[in-house]
Amino acid sequence: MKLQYYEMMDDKSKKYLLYLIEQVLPHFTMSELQMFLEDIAVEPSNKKKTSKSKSKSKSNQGYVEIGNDVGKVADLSKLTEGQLKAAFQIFISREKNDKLSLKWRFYQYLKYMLNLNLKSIKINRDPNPDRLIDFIIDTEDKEVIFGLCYDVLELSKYNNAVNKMNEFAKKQNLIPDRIIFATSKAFRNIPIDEPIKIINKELSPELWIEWIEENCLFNKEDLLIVNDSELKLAGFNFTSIDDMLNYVFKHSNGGQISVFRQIDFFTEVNEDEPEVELIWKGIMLK
Amino acid sequence: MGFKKIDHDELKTKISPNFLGIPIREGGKLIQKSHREKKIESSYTGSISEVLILNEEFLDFHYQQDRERKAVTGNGNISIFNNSIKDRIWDANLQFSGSQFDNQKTENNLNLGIFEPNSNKVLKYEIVNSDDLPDLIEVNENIENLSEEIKIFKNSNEESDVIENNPMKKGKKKNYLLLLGKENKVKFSIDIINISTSIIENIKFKKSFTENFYDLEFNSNKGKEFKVSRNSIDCSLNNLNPGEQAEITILAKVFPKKKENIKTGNIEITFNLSNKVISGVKINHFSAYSHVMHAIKKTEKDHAPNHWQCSLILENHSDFKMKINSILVFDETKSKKILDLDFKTSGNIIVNPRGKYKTEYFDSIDEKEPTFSRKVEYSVEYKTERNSMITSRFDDSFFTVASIAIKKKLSEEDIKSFEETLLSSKIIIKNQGTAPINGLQIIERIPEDFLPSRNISDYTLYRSSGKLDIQEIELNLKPDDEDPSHEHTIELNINLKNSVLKSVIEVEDFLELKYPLKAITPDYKKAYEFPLNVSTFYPKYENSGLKEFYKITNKLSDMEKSSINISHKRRKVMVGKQIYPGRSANEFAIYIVAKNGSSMKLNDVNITDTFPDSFELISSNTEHKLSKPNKNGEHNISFTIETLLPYQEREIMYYLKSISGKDTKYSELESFFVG
Repeated sequence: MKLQYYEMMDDKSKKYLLYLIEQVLPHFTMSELQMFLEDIAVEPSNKKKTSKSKSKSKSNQGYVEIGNDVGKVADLSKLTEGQLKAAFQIFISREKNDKLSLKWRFYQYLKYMLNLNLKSIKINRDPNPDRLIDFIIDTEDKEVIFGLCYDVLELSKYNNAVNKMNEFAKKQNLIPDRIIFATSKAFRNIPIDEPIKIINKELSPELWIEWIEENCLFNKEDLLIVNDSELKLAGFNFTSIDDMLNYVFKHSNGGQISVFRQIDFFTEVNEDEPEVELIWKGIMLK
Repeated sequence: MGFKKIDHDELKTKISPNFLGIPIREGGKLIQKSHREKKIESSYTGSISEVLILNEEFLDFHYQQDRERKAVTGNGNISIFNNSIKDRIWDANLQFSGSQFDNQKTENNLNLGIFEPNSNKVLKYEIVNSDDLPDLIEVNENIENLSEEIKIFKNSNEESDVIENNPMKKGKKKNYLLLLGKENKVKFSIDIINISTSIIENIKFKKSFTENFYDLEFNSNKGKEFKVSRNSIDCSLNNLNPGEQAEITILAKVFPKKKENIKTGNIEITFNLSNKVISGVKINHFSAYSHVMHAIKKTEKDHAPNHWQCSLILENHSDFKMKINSILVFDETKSKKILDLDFKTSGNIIVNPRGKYKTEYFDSIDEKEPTFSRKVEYSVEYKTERNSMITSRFDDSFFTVASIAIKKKLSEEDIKSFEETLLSSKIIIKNQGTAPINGLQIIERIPEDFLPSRNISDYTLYRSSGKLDIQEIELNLKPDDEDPSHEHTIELNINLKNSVLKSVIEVEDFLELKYPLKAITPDYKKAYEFPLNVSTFYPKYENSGLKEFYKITNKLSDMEKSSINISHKRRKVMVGKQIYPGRSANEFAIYIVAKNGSSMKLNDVNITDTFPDSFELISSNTEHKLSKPNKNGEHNISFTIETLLPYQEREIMYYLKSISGKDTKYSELESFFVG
């Protein structure tokens, strides 16, 4: 449990932090990293300026396409200690649970989420706080999905979001096919069983909770090895066995799959005979 | 960065730090049962995993206060757990039977698909036709009021101090009584009998008590630890074998202050029937596949070319025990059966985790490596557990409170000694409790020198609804004679013999009894008392036809006790006359005084005086009667004093004047005086 909190880390060196951040999956592209750094930037004026310049070039006002530079893996070596620390707290220890952190973790999840034939993702760069839709997702099936992220979803925020989505849909003439509320915690009185009416269309809202599995078969500190080193994944990237298997499904060749864990790989000094144990085996047909 | 799509039910009911607020319950039970995970852990031993099929039923038996069954509701779950932490199972197939499914398809063969490691699936069902389910326990509760003032009276006129310890039987509703304004000690004797054919376990007994009860004491042959909370008493009891009985005794005190009924407290018993479901659901078969490798090993014999020694091997690569049901090996074209092993009848072969099974060798002659067609039927081993969690709830009854007020009055408080006087005795009994009084027994002791009436028609009884029929009254006079030299006892039994009347005194109503009493030769030196006992009778059972009653005897309090004062009354009276001269010589004032020197009242005291016709009456301070002069020439003047109280003195003054011209002498006025 050594990657639980930044402050509890024995080694906070830039080198070690960089090494860990490089293990974050899926890897950031250059454009993703730029926007992430803008979001976590301390100076709000900077953020505002950049956002404004980007928004001009895209179709939906205030929304910018993100991740369309696949293959251009970002160079993380130039990150400052502060940026590395923030990235650590958001993606590795996940000790930050504010809206911004959740938004970026949800974005990462979107990239390997199954059953979502992604075409493009547009991210909200509008500084106006009333703009509650964080992502507009287009799929190859010609579906439009609104993604709204929260740290804690309470009823008033939910109702407000429904109103704002209606305003946005009218203004932009864009009616979604699905609406996803992504949150860390939710009150039980959110009426997700009741359809939401956007202009004249009734939609069933979806609630996506950041799910941390109890008694997960691996820990954050473990290295997960798929088959004979077909994939090597850091345990901190995944919060449940299903989460990990989704990623493996998307990034492996499928077939007979065995997943092993090398215990405390990211926190312990190398041993002569590392402790490796099988945690899952099965077939993935692609 | 895992996210999980949550449905509405999970949001409402699942226990998780991600959800804020209290989980919403369904039908009193949490839909999610968190203990399931523990169950998996507990049955996981080392590297051997198992599939557990847990059939649980939850039943709620509800009984009325007369112990007749009111309702039974229930539901059940069949939960299938894959408790392996790494092995999936697939093609899971469950066969079950039982007519208790109404939310499942009529087929009782379900394909449950794939189970991920450490996962479970739950089939829920409602229990229908629950009326046909047998009772599992019998609970008899006997409630006794240990107060000495309450006795049991049977119609055969037997009376007993000890209230018989007959527990409540089905369909027989018992009435319970408390004495108002007094401390009542109540004993609850509760028997719990296991009338099922199974051992009942984990028995939790709970009896509710209102705040009226205090000083609770508990005793049981099956449990010692009990907990008294604000409104209940709780206890865990040891297991009960079929036919075995747990006896619980609770002693409690209660002091009814108000005229209101007090609940006896309902009983709730929860228990488990281990390894049994009572609805009749049966798990007939379960099969599923996991990681197994099977192959035919072919070895060309060293000294016989083209002669192959073959055997089929099956390697269990999973953590489950694997059961081989059958092995069938044909030649390549399936025309010749080479091996046919059916273990279903001859006993299944179990292959342990990471173990191997190998068939006997069979030979084959082939120039090339022989090929075979084979079919192996196998399945993971599974374990079935059954459990029934039963709640039996027994409705409570209530205590009525009993209280009466008695008043007695004699028509005369003071009578003369040694004289016969006719008196009237009046007794008023008021029902101040919450239960109608079914019968009454009035016993009054009449002292010597007095005689009560022997004629029942002289005894009249009134209620607010009118006069009571004489048929319902029984008079016993002991001894039945008219000898005033000894005391007599009047015993009036009202509505006791035939109990025709529904009640004698309704709640808030009263009964007034009047009868004549003769004082024959009362002696003023004696003190006479008329002790009175009134026994009230309340039915012990409701509508049962049994003539058993609670009998409460009330004595007339000393304060209310009637007594009579016998006065030894003898008369003593004095009437005096005095004459006074007036201002002039022809005027006189006559002064008469009447003194009652006795202790008794004198009535109609007549005083007559005479004066000569030479005088005329001027005035008088008292009403008088004047007569004309008689032949002797004298007037008579009469006065009547209606009442002279004991030791009272009354003065009469009248004035005379001589008729003018006539001489008058004082001596003439000293005439004859009658008084």
